Amino acid sequence: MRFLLGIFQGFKEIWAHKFRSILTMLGIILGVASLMAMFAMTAGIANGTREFIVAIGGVEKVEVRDSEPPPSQESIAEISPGRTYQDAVALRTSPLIAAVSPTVDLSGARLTRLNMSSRPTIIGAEYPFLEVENHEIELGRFISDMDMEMGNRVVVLGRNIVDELWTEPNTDPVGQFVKINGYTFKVVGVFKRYVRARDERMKNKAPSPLAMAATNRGVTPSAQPILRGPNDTAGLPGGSGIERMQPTISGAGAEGSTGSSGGGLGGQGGGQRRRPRGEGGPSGGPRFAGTNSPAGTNTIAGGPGSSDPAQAERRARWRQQRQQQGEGGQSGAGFTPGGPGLPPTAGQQGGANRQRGPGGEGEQGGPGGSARQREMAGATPTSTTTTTSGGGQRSGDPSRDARRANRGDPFRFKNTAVVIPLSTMQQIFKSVKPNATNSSINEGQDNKLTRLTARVNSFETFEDTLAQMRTILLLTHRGIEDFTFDTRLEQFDRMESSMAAVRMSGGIIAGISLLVGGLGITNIMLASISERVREIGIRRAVGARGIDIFLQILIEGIVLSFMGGLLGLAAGVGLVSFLEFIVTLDNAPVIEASSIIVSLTYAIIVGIFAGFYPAYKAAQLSPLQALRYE
Amino acid sequence: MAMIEVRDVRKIYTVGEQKIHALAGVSLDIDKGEYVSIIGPSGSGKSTMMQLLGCLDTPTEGSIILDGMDVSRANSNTLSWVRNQKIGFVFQNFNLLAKLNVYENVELPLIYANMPGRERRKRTLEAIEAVGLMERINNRPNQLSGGQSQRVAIARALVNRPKIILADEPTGALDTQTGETILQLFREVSRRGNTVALVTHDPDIAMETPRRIELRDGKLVSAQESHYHRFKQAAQAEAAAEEPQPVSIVEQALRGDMNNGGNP
Repeated sequence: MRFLLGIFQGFKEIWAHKFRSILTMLGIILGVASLMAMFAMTAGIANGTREFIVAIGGVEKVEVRDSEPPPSQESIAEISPGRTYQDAVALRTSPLIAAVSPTVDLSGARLTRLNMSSRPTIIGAEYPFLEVENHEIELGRFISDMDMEMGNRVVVLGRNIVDELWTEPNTDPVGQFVKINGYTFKVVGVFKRYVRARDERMKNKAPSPLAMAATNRGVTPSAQPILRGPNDTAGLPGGSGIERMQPTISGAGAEGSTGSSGGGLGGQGGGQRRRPRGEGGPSGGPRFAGTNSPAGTNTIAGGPGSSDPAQAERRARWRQQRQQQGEGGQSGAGFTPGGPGLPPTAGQQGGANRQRGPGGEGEQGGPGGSARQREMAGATPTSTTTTTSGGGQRSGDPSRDARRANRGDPFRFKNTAVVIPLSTMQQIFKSVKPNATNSSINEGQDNKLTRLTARVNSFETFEDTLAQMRTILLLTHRGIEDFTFDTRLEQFDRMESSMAAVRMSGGIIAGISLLVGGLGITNIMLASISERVREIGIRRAVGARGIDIFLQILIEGIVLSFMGGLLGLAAGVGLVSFLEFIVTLDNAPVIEASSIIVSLTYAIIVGIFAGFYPAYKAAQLSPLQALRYE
Repeated sequence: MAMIEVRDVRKIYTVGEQKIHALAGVSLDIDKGEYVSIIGPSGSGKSTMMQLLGCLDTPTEGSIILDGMDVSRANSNTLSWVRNQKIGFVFQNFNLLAKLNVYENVELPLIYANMPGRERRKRTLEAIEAVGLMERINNRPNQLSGGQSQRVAIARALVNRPKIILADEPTGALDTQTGETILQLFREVSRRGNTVALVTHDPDIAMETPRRIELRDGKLVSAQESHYHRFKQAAQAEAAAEEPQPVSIVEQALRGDMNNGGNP
């Protein structure tokens, strides 16, 4: 009863001194707002990291890696066969393991279709690959038992590869054929397009008029790459190369959108020149400003140079500078400044004429590429020509979009997957004799697995599972412990603990500002009680006990900080969206319920502490002195 | 049995090195329903007496028993309770809370008495009614005249139905006429059976009460003596005003000496 009256009294007191109260609360408001913003940011980053870990297979994934055997076994290490298919077969007997995926990779293979090529890493896998790697099939099917049994020449492609090899966006290539190092493979399935949750959200945004216009005209407006350039530099270097590539039909050259678009610039746009091992070497090969949007692929980036070589050159030089500064990589494709003015010839070859410069080749040619770019290029398919108008249809702001796409997308490897049956891989590319059965996989000259990955049944039995896996593998490795387990667990723990550290330090900083706000409250309340000594005296005279006065002042402080906390929450929401707006973070800040509760609780605790001393002082006043006070 | 029993009470204030004996051994009884005034010149200890009776302070020595309860050694919370339950205060400068309106000011002691809402409202309205301020119930103290303010203060003193009403110069800040109406109010309160003690330095007001307790230099002056003293003084003053006293030659000489600047 009296407590409620006290709260009411507190509100009255605040209302009586509105301006002063707002000023007093400001410290709390800002403190709570920054606390919330900090929580939201770390939550956003944590979410992003978690997403990443799930993207790379989740915490249930265990990868068996080679490692040095212990010193005691060094001399007999050769008796171990190493990681072979036998290991996979043995591991499959364990009831604790849900799936085992042995794979053999073929890197640097040439994947071609018509005159388009790519240079992805080909993965020879078995059915469990799907489960272990968290893959999903969008079209067609995955490799079947039959395929594995028969060593069928079938392939399942990642979306980015499909986009690369087929002109039209969202092609259904199932049933069509591609060549891997000259062997014809039938496409039986396509993996889902993996998009980060954040990119997913971006989908709903309307395209900007500029980008729309670009796509509509089929010509890249010259302004765009310029716009984009500086933005791109903000992106993670290296991320770019692996991103989607958007091959451009450079035939449009003459109508020449000023040669702004990457590949065209150098005039190396000519498809024929490029295809053979890209002498022109896109500088650094792999940079795609493009985005995940298939839409962009259709854009005709006007071939360049002929129309305005000088401009092109200027731009190319500018870009090259940026790249040399090591920031670049993301901007429009490679241009060797040397070749402006060469008329693009691709156009004459027809629309299908696309240039693909495998990244590896880019290395040789590209003067501009940074080491990082080259590194990335080796692992990923690349395209020398790109259109910079990327993603026009999907998301409005190309620069933003590209930036986002270029950041470390956890799904880039998954989106560029090319998977064939393991048996086929062994037979064709690893010199295992044809018609071999699964067990004979071990008989080839190169019978080592590139990767051996397992997914545990349950996270609870993780440790037990590892122990069991070790036992099994010791058997197949003839007691030589030349393997180790690589789990996401450590990574996850590290992430969690670093997040906790960030949250802690951020929390302390924000907490200090809240504390300062609390000191402001203490200060004002001390002033306010010396102003109200007489009131306190009167209350004491009519029967208020010391504790009544104490509670009254304390409740006032709490009400003050609580209101400040509420206003701070509103300000925090505003601050978070403001941050989101100006910073364009890779990981969107997330306001969690817990952060609201924590902030508000902290504000109230600060209020209690802030009000405590003034309340104590007020309660200590002798009624007589207080009454006489003038 | 006496409502108020004061036994050999001393109150010593220490100001720096100096010890001031505000009360130097006072004993008195005030019976239930009595209407008394406590008078004396300033510095006589009457305010101290009032504070001790009102439980705002405790005596250095001696005991004070209010309604059978020894308050001279009670702790702060007990004193608060006694102030709340047994004593109603009326001050010279009203001591109303400026932020609260008439109703809330009167209600205040009931809140600290933890009285439930309905009963509290009833009592508050009764008390305001009793002092005739129903029409100003929502006014703030600064919208009231001095007399009205003092009536609010009296309503506040009465609202918890205390047995003792203590008034410290209740008419001090009021003009004579308004003061008269306030005194009437006190007479009425007293008639209803409350024990009322008025502290004043004004003999005219003291004449209102059937009994006067006179203090001088921290000590009680006997009732008879006090009465006589006052009238003697009054008579002397009157006489002095009517016919000048014969002045002795020495005095005359001295005066003349002073007046004439040394002329013989």
